[in-house]
Amino acid sequence: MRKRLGFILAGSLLLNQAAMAQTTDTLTVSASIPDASGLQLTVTPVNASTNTAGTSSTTATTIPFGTLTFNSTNNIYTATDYYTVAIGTTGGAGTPTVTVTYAEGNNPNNPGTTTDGLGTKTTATFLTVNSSTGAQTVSSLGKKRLIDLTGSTGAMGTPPSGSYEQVDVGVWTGSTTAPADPSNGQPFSNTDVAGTYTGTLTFTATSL
Amino acid sequence: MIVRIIFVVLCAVGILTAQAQAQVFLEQAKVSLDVSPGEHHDGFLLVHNTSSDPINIRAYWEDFEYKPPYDGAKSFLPAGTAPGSASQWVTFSPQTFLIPAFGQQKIDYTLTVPSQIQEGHYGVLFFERSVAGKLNDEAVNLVTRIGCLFFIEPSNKLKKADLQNIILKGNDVTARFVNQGNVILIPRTTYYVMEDGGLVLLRGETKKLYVPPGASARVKIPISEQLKQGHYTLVINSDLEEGDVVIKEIALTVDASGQITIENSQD
Repeated sequence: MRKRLGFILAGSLLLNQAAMAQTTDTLTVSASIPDASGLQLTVTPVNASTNTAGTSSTTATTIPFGTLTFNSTNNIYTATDYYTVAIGTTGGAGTPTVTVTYAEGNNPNNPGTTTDGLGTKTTATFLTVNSSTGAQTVSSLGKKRLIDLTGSTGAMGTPPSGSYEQVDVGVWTGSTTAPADPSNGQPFSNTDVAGTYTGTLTFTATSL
Repeated sequence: MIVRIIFVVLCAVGILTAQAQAQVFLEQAKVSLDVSPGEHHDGFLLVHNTSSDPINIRAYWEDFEYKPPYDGAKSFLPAGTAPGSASQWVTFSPQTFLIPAFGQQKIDYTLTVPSQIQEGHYGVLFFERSVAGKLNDEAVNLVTRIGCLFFIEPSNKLKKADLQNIILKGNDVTARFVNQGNVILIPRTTYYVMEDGGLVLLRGETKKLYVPPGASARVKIPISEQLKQGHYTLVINSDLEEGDVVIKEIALTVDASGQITIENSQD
């Protein structure tokens, strides 16, 4: 009887050891990437007559149209350059979206108001640019007066993979070439009060 | 010729690299907190300057609202003006600072929840690159800012929604996703169409929605597959996260001409 009990004890010990040997521990390996946000603007002047691009800048804080010149054919003032603003965004878990808004600054026509200011006489064209080919397509936001960029009207979506968003900013000339200048815009003309017209374009990047 | 090609390639790489980089980089673009009345919470954010020039940064709070069609587009409003603003609950420091080239700055924030919180409170902490210099001619100032969204919601929040007004528009089934809860809902909506035998013929996912309490957004399900005459079930599943879902089963009938009609719908 004692022998039998001994065998049973030894057997159960062996089984227990086998069961212990089969036990597996798992180590979960994980890493979290934060929902990060980054924004950089690359500003490039482009000659409005020849479409020749000038030197790009990633540190520019203004779009300087400079002193406008009179076009005697159309009786309006025009700028030598328009400016492309390429929007570079970076994100961790998700690329941020960008909203463009405008605020009127110095307005000699009607000081302290937005009436007939720079925002009425300049436009923004929203484009999606293929990073590889440089091919540009006008986005669903189209072309707007800067003064119309309020609230979420200048909210850009997430660009398709391999593309980035770009905003071309220029003085309103009444161009009918697609994308045509908005019909509610105005040119600078001799009816405008002489002086310096300014405004602020704000590019806001947030995650969704 | 080879030198020219190398030059062009280097220029292209340079431009692309410049567009992929960021001057102001925020490590945490969203803070989501489930809180109880009277709770205090301390945290911090890290802002990086990824450029070779020092930059001046101004930090300030604004409110935000998701706008129709609630695809994620937002309006930003002065602090304290939006319903459910969290502007009075969050303090942060420093508010202006200079980040050296390739440097970083830690911004500490403190959240103090009042004795009652009935609904979600929201806001955005902006980091704006300050503009220096005066404008002498016609010019547009360029301001860049990145924001960290704050989602401060009660720990006993009500996440409730319904899919209403289910109708057919051509070959699309459309519905209104109605937020009946007290926090912003960001549903991930998937769908599938199965035939009577249970075989799934079509499945897909709609774009994410960002729907504030009390608002509704359109959900569009394209029935692109040519369905044969018969009876089908369209199942729409809106995942509200954290285990909350809205499910709708819609009975569809397709006649001999391929015309689709909605028979009924149920939860």
